[in-house]
Amino acid sequence: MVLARVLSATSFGIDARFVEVEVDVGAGLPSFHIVGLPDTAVQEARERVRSALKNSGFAFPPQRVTVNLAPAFLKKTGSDFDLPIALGILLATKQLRSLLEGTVVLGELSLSGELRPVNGVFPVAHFLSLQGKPYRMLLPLANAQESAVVEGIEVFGFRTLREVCDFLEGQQTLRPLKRSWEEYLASPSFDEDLAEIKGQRQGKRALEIAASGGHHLLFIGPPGSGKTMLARKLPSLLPPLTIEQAIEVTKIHSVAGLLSEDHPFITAPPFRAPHHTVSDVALIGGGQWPRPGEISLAHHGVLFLDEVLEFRRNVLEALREPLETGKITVSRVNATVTYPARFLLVLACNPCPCGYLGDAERPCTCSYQQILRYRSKLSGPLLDRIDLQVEVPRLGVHELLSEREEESSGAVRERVKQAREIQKERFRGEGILLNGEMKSRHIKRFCELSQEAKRFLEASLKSLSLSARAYHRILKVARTIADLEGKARIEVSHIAEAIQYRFLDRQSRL
Amino acid sequence: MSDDLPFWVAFSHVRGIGPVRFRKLLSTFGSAAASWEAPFEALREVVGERLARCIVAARKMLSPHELYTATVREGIAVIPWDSPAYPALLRSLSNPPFLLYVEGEFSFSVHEKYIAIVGTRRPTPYGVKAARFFARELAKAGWIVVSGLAVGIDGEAQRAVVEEECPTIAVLGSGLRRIYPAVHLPLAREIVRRGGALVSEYPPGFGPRPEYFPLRNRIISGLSCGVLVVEAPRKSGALITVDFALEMGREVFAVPGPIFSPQSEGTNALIAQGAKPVQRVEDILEAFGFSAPAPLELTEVGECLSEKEALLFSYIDHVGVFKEELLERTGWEEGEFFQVLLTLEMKGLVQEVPGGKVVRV
Repeated sequence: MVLARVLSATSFGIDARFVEVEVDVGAGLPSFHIVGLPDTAVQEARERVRSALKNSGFAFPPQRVTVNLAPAFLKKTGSDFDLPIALGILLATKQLRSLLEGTVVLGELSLSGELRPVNGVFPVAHFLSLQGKPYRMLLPLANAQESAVVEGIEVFGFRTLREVCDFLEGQQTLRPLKRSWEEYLASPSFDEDLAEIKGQRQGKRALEIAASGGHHLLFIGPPGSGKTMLARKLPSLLPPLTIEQAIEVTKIHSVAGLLSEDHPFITAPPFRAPHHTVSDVALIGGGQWPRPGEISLAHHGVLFLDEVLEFRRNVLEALREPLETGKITVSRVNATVTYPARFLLVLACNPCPCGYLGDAERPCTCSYQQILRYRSKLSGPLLDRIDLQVEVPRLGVHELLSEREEESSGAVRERVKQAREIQKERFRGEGILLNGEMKSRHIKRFCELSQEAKRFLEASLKSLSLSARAYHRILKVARTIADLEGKARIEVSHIAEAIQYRFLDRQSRL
Repeated sequence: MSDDLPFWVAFSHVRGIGPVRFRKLLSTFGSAAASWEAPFEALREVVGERLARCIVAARKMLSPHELYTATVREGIAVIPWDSPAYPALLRSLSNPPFLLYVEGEFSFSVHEKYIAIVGTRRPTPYGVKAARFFARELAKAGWIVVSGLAVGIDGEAQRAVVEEECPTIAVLGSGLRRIYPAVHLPLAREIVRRGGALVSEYPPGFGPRPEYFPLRNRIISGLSCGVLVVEAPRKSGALITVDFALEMGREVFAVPGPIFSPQSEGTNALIAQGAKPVQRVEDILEAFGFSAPAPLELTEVGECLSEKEALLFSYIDHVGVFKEELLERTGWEEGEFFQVLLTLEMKGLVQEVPGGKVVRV
């Protein structure tokens, strides 16, 4: 009897693999089997395909149907294979004459025969474009949008199984969907703008430094002082993503199923703010079938942890490796995958348990011991990676009503871009891009101080009793401040400003 | 008498037996030993059913002689109310503690000028500076500073005295082997090393309890000729010390503070009620009929400031100004602004405080 082959593919990590769907329809008692390490969702394709075929006006063969998903060692998950299986059955039963060479099919079927979008199509499209062959993709219409930007392949989107068949039979001609990168990249649209915040000059300045040098940031301030608002503006200060970055970010979001028809392609640095009840798996990535976590969704963007002390300890501990390496490897029984995770970390917390320490209007009700205990939770390995600790006070009414013209994100972004250029030039061949990534040997080499600045730093370390750890952070941040001014050498004013961003070190005596 | 001392110690371990009840027992049974061994019915007559039960329970568990020798072996002196080593000023109260646990070489009978320095646990930089200043100057003038070893004004004052290598008395609201707050354990050791004393009316192993602290404050003011309150908000333990001091007829002094500072509300109110405002050490010394010691060395402000430093300094007051506001007023760039601010801070003229503000020190 007849054997039909349909080519499909599935995402793996943020890459993709080919999957060949073989359908054999032969004599025997009517049955329907799927083999090739399918999970439950794939097994259930049997019911969806059977109904979808019937309701699209086709006949389901009253014979023995065997579907094999090759390669057999690769675990298959999800509903991607509904459409290829359905087409395979139609081919095997001669209800469909042919499937053109080089066609890759993905899609979920509803019982009525409509096509539903699936996750992780973008990595597949990108994978196909790298094969050096003009593959054709047949996809649900919703998924077609995100893949239409990929060069070197032809993408066709459909609403129903019937439409797919009509197209393959030549009863309907369709032009491949095409959208250009430039269309998206040209206008990275930010919903947020720095100009919306009145006052908070220090907070804004810290954002600018963080964006320029890739420094992780901690905001400390009472409730309602605007820590979250400030953090939300940070992506708008970052340079727009390059095409390579945008592809990488879009892949991650595609795997996580976060692309929509309106935003099929991600061009702006992402902003992720998981709630403090988040589990370590949701934050880091993982699960029985590994999925990217919040840290990977924040790749090339900002990860914001509000009320950082409320997060579970193991969750925060898990951030250490990705902060160090810029990626995370998730090992599970079924698969080991590596997701990129290079993000700017922004933390926020209250200055004390009640939140109002030092507030102008509400008195703080915490005891000295309570505050010490609270602060001690902040210390530790995570805080060690935070270069900027900035206090965000709750400002009075007159600051909020000030008439001063506030600077827009675009203006700041220009300065950030220039500072980043300087750093790129400096670190050529060093394997790093930003001041925030400097190791101690880089600091020794690149953080040259003027004589005066050296004396000033030594004096202030002594009189403010700052630790040796603070010393390195101060130099890194001072380097970025000097870069923002285009100065080759670090001057006194750069050091003085950098010391301002060691809030916790300096408040040891409360 | 010394045969009776172990039983005094034993009674101090019974919660609920204070000076009043203890004296009642003494006058009824003649001695602490006799009271300790008195029959339940007789005890009930004197102290009531509940406490009598406590005493009966305690004497089943405690061995007075072992308790006493263990305490002495620890290097802790036990000074009963009728001992000549007992602080004379404290004894003159109507109901002083019947027993004091004391650690340190300090002898109460040798010294007679005691002054308490008390205040809030959450001082401003101004308060810390004032506490340290008066403590140091008074110690140099031969006064013994008495305080409660608490975080804040108390601890700062005592630390300043210790740094001058002078003796100071710390009265605890817990046993001498349960120093509270624990962060002041090193300070407590230093006080003993410098010839001062740690004093408690509670047995060494007793932990701190909220109800002990007002009683502790009573001892602080009882030990002293006068009480200096440096900074105290409206509801402060320091004001309890003042109430006791007034009851006992001690002098009360207060350091005036800014009218907008909550930490000075209590002290300013005291001044309004008639406490003596203190601006110089002489103000205290004169009240006791002593003349001033050597003239003070006040740091001259303004001598070594650059033009910009002087300008920024003039914008900063004792209550606190937002850095944001200062940035705005000076109109300087961040780098320049912070350089000037940090220089002022390093010269010890201003300090940053929580809430994004700067104050004059």
